[in-house]
Amino acid sequence: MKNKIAIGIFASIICLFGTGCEKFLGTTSEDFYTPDEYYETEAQLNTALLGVYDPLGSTDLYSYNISSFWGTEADEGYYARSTGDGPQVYDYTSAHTRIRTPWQKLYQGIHRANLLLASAHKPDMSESSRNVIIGEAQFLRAFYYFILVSNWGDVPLVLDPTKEPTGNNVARTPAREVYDFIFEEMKEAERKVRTIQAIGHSGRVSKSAVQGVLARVCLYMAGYPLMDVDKYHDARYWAAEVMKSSHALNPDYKQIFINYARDEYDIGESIWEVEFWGTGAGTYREAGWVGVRLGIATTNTTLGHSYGIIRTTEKYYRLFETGDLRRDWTIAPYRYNGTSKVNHGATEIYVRDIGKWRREYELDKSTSLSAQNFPLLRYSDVLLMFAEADIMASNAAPSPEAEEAFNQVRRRAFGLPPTTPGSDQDVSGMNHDDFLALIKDERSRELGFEGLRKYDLIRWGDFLKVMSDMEIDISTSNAPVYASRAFQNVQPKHLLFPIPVREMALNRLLTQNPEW
Amino acid sequence: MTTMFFEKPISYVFHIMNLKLMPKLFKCMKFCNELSCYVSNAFSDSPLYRGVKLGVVFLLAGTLQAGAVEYSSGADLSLSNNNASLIIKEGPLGADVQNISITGKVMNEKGEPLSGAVVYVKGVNRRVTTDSRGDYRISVPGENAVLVFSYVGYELQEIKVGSQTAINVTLMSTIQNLEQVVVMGYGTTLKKDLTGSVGTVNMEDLMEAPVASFDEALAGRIAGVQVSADEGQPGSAMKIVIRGQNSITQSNDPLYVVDGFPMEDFEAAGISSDDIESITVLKDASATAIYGARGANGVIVIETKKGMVSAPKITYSGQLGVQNVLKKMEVMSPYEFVKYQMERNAAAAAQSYLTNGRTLESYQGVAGYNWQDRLFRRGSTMNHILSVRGGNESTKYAFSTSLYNQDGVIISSAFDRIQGRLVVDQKLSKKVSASLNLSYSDGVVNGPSPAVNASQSSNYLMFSAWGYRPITGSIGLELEDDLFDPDVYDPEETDERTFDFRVNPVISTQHEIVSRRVRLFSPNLNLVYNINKKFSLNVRGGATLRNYINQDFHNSLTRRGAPRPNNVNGVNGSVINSERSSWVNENTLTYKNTFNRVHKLTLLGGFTMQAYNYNRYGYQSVLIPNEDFGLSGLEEGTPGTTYAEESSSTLASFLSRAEYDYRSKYLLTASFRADGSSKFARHNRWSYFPSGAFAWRMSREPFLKNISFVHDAKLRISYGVTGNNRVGDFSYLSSMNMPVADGYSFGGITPERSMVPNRLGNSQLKWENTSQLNLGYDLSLFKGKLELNVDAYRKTTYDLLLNANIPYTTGFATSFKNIGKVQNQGLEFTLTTTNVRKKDFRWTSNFNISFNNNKVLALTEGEENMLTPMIWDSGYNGVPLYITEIGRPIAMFYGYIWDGVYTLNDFDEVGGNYVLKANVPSNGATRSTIRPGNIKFKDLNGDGTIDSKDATILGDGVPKHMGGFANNFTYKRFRLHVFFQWSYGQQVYNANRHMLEENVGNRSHLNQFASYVNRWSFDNQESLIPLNNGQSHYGVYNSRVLEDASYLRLKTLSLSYAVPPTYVNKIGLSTLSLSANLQNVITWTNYSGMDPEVAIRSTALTPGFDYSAYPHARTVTFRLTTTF
Repeated sequence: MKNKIAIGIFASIICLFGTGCEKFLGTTSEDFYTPDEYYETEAQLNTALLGVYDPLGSTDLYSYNISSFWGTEADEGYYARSTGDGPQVYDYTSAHTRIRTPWQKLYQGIHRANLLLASAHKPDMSESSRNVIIGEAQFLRAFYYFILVSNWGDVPLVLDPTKEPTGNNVARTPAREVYDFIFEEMKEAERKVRTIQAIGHSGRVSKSAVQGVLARVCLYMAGYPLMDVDKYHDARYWAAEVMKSSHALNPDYKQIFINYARDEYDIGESIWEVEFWGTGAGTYREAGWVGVRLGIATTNTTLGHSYGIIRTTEKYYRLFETGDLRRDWTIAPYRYNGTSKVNHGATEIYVRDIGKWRREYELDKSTSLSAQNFPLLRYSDVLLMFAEADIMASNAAPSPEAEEAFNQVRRRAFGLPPTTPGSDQDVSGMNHDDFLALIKDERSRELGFEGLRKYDLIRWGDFLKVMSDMEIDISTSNAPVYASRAFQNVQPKHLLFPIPVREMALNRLLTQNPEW
Repeated sequence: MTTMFFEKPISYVFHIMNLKLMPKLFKCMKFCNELSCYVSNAFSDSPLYRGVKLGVVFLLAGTLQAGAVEYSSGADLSLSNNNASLIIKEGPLGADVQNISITGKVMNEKGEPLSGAVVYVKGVNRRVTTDSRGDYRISVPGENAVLVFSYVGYELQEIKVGSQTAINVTLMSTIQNLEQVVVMGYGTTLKKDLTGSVGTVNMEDLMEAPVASFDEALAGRIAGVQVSADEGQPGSAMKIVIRGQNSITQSNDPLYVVDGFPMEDFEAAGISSDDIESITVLKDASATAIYGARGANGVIVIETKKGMVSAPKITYSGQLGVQNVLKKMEVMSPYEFVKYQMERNAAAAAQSYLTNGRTLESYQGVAGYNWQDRLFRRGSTMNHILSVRGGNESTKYAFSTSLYNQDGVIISSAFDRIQGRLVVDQKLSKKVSASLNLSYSDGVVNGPSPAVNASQSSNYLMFSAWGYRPITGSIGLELEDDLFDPDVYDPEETDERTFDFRVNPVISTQHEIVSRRVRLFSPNLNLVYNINKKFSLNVRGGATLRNYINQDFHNSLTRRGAPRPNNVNGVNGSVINSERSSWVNENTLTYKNTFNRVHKLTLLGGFTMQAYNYNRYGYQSVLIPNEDFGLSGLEEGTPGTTYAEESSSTLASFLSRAEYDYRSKYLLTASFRADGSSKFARHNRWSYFPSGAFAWRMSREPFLKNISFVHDAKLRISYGVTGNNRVGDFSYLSSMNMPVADGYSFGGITPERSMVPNRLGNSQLKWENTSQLNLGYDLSLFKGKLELNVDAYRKTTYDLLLNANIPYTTGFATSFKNIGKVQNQGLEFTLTTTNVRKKDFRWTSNFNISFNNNKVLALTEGEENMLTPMIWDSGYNGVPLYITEIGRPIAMFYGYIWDGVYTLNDFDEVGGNYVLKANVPSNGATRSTIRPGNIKFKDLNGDGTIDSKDATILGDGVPKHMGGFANNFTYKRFRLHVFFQWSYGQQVYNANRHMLEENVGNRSHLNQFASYVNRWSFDNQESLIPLNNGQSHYGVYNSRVLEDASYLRLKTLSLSYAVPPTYVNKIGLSTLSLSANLQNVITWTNYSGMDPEVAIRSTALTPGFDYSAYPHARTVTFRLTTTF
């Protein structure tokens, strides 16, 4: 007992006069790494790189938000629900979740890339392997900025990892400078990353992916609002770079999407896609919502449960010419009744669910989430971008290469061999303006519901007019009342999203977009 | 009166026989004011003080100034032989007289025997004490003798012997006792000497409540202490907030100190109420600063019952009771339901309900299913407590054990607990004593909370209980046998947010396994070494070990395991084990001395160390193929989430306190504590917490002394700083981890997890501080028959440890910062009165009321307000329901102001259609879709539509004032306890009404509350309930369902009867009392839900939200208590 007293007193004395107290209080955790302790090996860099990819597949970006809330935008489809607000119906404020969380997710990805890039020099490893990691991280960071700048305009350009929670007020960088950064950064990444052949699938950033996205970036820079028309030359160049590699259209349009459903890869057609995996059950959470949200509505779990959240507009349906095989794939001609398919009547257009992401082709169907991938860049997009950049750069009639690129897409749409010239669907000898108008329609037909239409319309300067035309169009149709909500609501301010109100409150250097 | 003079200082010896003599002595010793002061001080100071109280003869020695002694003739003063000392004795020693033998029993009002009570003959030096059964035997000089009975805490009673030979006496407990010992941090003090603001719980009253744990009975008992239940589930802990919420994002729980062991996270259910000797609540900084770092939220000090010098006293208490839900919600009858379905969708309803020639009228008077009656049951409670206490001068012991069982009012919910405690106090030598305190408890809460977060509102239990339809239209379609209603799912109408997860509430509940087991073991050893008269050393070592086992199993007949879209996990289950352990070592040295008889000084210094360890391991299994094996079949499923977590923290502190007392008139307390916590970076580890308090007992001043009705009056003022370190163990460090959701699959192969930054550390993180100023006044009048305590305080919490929002551009959403400032100020009144005080009848009351005003003074840099959503349904999760704004209380309700419904006047009739007038704002829906009877909101910014700019502050979830009113009536052997408790001015967001009084999801075949019958229609245009399909949108919060949840509750009612000893003794018992105890008897409220005391998943940021809460129960128990 006396010993215990002695020990107590002893402890006090140690703490009073010695270093015992600080030692006692200096606890260390065995449960986590601090960032300073990590990024020490090549394997650790690769594990961290996965974290830079991860936001792509999150519900805030392609799994849910971009694919089914941002992606219904413009004139191709409408949100098939009578209630609810959000970007899908142009009914939102700067406080809306579907504006706020994507912003958050994008900067989270950027921060992960910043941390990785700041530490990539640490491991002892081969420079080529290091470059691949750096290149992919650089590209993804630039890609996230691309999503930011094309949706919000001027945004804070943060390129260093955050160290402390204070002192993080950052002003917006003008959109032009953000685009310049994206352009330069992607060009640098293009030199570092591997070819798609070396990678062997389309889930990872390859040279072709960077080149193709560079072409897209250049088209956006060349169009509204920057109107940096010199970039049409760059767009043409980068699209041509992709075309030099051994990419080719899949001769069967629907097979592209069946491949996505089955998690199979066609590196000729699909250059880059968002990867989803599994059923959502078990140890991993990498399954997505693509088929579940965007598929053909059914509660049948054998077919694959889907909400059918987007339906087509009649305008879009009519955009397809007779014989265009893409129409009845992109827009489901049937609905499910139990497990059987019931064709829609010829006049029943507005009730048609979109059909690109059909769960019936999935291999391992879970009740709610799916492994179906989502395209980020397809070769047909590259071909159409090339054709467009070609005439815009020259400001003249299309070159033979541009016509051929365009015709490849068109031939495939009618079930013809894509690379065999001289089909009855080929166009030739068109003037600049007609060809441009054709490209605009062709992009819509080819790439519908892949999250590109709104941005195409914006850069062409057509967005507001197309939307108000749709309002008139839909008001005289047999569409349900709520189908017109988006078209009624859209205003000039909707060319850009508002800066999230939360961000405005916390970063006092920010300014708000006009009219928000 | 006799006077004795003496010329030089003289040592004296008091020889006091009885208490009654004390006032006489004071009166007689006019020789020197100081002496009387000194005497009284010496009494209170003396270790023999308790002896005095017991009436035990004792000697007190000291030195007396020269002077005169005037003494009554009843006393016997004499100088010792050498004239060096004065001997004071009780009056003339008894002469030889005839002796009569008297026997009897001394009891308290409850009929419990008082062991150790003193019985003596007045005026004669003859005394005895009662034995463990309260029996005494004494011989008296004759029939004229007067027997005096005395016992601590009870009033003296004199009885003339007369011709009696058996005299049984019932002593009445004294009124408010200024000499009451109050347990403080690191020591005790007398109530009259308190300088801080301290509330004590009347344990006797508290025990009248038939509850599982003491915290359930604490509400309304102490001013300034808000105790509320989130819901009524058996075994769930209460939320206790002392003097308002300091912290916005962090815990506001007080610090608990159980038998000297400080605990930040405390399991109230781990301690049996019956084992509690006292509960003291330390409120102001003077009282709490000795706990420095952790005192900011207030401190609750609990002392358990110890052994005493007596023969073994065996007590058994058994209690059995029943419980019933306080209120069921009235839902629509089958007729009303079908009528509603026909309005909703006439075609579909006709298909479902008007088959086989039936019409709506066919449903008149049809009974239908009453799902609430099937889900609720009569609950039961059972409690057995057995204790043995006793001991001798060197060893005292207390052993107790209890067995508690409660079957809740919802089927399959239950709470079971066993507890044991052993306390041994052992004198090891003259100077050293040790006490060992061991406690063990094992409690299991069974059954899920109906309010457990389920992401979809339709996946909550009560949604199904109220909304499951009362009737099907199909002959032969019975709902009671299947988990699903086959007619319900309707994909055409269902937004994924309004997706319908309705299940048969009875089947689901019967099959769900959710259990949480908590085992606590706490060994605690305390050594006291009385070095000399002035110094004593106290060394304490202890540990608490807590083990939690959470088990879940959801088979295919449950709402979370049923095979249906969205359930990716199929049949699933999990087992998670976690452990929290902590050990403490506290070493304090106390110095006590008195200078010049009037300056009393107590100094305390000490050093303490405490360490915490936490770990959690567990796993989940999904898609389990063989559900019949229950939890033991987990290994056959697919591995789901796994849990592995470890953490630790340490705390080292130096503490000191000085108490100075001048003639019990001026009292000063100052304390200083330094705390070092491992939760901060090295340079910010230490913080210092000073406090000071001053009390002035005005009643001891001459100007009040002569006012006879003033018994005691004391003014208190205190100021101090306390802290809070309730952040994560390593919040100051940035960390990386590999979350289950963050990874990527390249090329369709099995994904790999990624390593990502998950926390942004803050190396500048430091202690949160709360400064508090307290002004108090204690007034005791009419010999303590009326006692009033008033406290006013203002506390400001600064350098708030705020899980602060930071810009997303950092890559993070939040990080801990010392930012923000919150102020709480308030008033507390406690009035204790003895209204009637007759021999056979007594009536005492205790009334308390407290007001607190909470105000946010600053938030994160630049942030004007913070919006917080309530997470309960995916359609509402992104929508803020609360706003925390500078200049206002934390977390005000936020949303649209409800403005009734659109009336015909709002429309132009165009071709039979109603077209909304241009100047009438829309309600957020497309204008052309708005019809008369649709819900209407106030367009605050006048832009013609309702959007987030029209959201505003709607109300407050925190009461304006609250309190309690307890009454005790004693008539002979009966005792009646009546306790009211109220809470006024808080609001509750009754989200149940969104689903069940307007059907916001427009879900098919969903029954509604009976109130919905009165919805708007062209025939009922006065109604303010939106017409069918005219409800608010999904995801819109508005004031329609925000309700005043003020309430007044007859919380506890008990009647007990002590069986007279004559009967009791015959069956070999010493006491026997019987009682009936009722809890939650009557509630007066305007709240339309089941109960206004509700706040599911409440935090400081999300108060007062009601959705599918477990209902509160009314409890009726019968109790039998006996001692052997």
